[in-house]
Amino acid sequence: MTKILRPLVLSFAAVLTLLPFTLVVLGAASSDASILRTDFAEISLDNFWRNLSRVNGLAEALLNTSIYCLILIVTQLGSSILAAYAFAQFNFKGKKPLFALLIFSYLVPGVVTLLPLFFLVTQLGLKGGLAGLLLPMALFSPYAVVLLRQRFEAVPRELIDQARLDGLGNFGILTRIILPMSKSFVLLLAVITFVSNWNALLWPRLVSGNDWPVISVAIASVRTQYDSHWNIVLAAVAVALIPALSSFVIARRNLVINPLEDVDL
Amino acid sequence: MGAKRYLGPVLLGFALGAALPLAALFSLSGFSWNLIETPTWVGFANFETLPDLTNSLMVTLWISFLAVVTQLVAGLTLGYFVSNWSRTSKSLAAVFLLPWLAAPIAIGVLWQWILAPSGGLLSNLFGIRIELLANPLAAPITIALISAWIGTGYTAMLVASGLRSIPRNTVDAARIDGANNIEILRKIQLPQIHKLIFFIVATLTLQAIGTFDLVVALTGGGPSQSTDMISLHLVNTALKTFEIGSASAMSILLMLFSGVLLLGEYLLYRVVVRKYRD
Repeated sequence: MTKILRPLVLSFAAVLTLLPFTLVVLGAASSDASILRTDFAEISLDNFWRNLSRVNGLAEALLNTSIYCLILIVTQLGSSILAAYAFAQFNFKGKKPLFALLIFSYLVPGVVTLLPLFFLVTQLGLKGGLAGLLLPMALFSPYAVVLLRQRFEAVPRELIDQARLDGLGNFGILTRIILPMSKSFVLLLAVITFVSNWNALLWPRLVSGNDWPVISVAIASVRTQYDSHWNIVLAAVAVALIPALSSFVIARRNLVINPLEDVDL
Repeated sequence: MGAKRYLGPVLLGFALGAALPLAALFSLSGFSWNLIETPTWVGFANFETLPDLTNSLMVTLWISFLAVVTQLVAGLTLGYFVSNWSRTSKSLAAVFLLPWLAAPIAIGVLWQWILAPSGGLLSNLFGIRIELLANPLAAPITIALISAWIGTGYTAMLVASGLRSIPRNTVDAARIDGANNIEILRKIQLPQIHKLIFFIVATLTLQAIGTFDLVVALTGGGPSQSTDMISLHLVNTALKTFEIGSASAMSILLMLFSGVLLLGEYLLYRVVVRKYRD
């Protein structure tokens, strides 16, 4: 039974997953005339470049989003690594309630804190730029802290004790022992941080909008600008998809493992 | 003793990203304020004069329910089938993740093109007008299915790794005793991953409540408010009126709403687990 069902179900699902992405490529490479009939009769790379050149401000949006995402990878992962290390290796007063607070803040739907944060950023005069975008989230990623803590706790105690005997301090243990042993896991979190911020629309749309457009905001405005020129819209969509999907190829080996389970220690 | 230094950055981040906005939320809900004039204290008046959220909450419940159930069923099925972890299965598990990695706004625009009534892919292919997104009955279902299309691979990946973490010899022993695949699934595998399934349902629910980009791209909340999900409704209302007190009151209500929903799911989970055990 499983023998027949497995290939059947899996290939159906694979087609259903990949077909829409193939259609993006076909649509993005169509000419104005052929997209109206959706016949894909005139597919060419030239068409793709021509469609792309008609998208306003794409390069700016790509640059902005890259800057935004790279900063967040460094600051969010940096603060999360330090905190996860403290939670995993130290005993201190208030450790449990503090960790519970982190989990609680992860469980509050993002849209709940969105409006007060937006009003705050507006009051501070940071609307319309990178600073306002970064302010509330630059140092805070409860998701990363929770996962990194689990990962760091899996590092054998004896190894750390041995390193301490050899004269390594707290910071040395983190950078010389724990981090090298968690390389692939940190890479995975970097990819997740990158992808989720690359894809975000709601917060950038409110805060930086069209003054400092990121790629999601640019897609939304291309859509309204070129109402039925789907080839142009799809060219922008294709470009927006490339970084997220290709960063995944880099980290594929690490992604398709259980984020909750122990990894090749 | 070093702990404090290591926690510093996250504590600052927590203050800015969570504590401050939540504190602001609760205190501002007691004021009438439009960012320009001086705030005036109105007590609980903002809660008493809340705009009617019934439609938005019902729409959110309906779309979330459909999306979570579809993703769970499809994710369990695919996760079960790829959990043998052959070379092909591993690559397929990766392929199924692709929609989850793509920007929801891009996915939304893509499906909008596929489903557009005139000039859309399906309309042209079949030579008829496809009105799935223009029909108040079909639009919420379409949004739920597309959001399930996005999240199924993620669920499948979690299910597959959960199934793989079950010790092999438990399954092998049952097989030697003559159990077939379905019996093994029901008696051994599912009972072992029930916690994981609850975790999946809870995260998917939270994600569904927060759905925004997809709705913006596909319907903008229409037709006749049939897809006006709570996040979109909240943001739209706040930006239209700039009544900060009222927006804060609504946000608090949404927080309670999702809390109650998660609690309900937890109780349901407990009941199911207990029933299963007997």
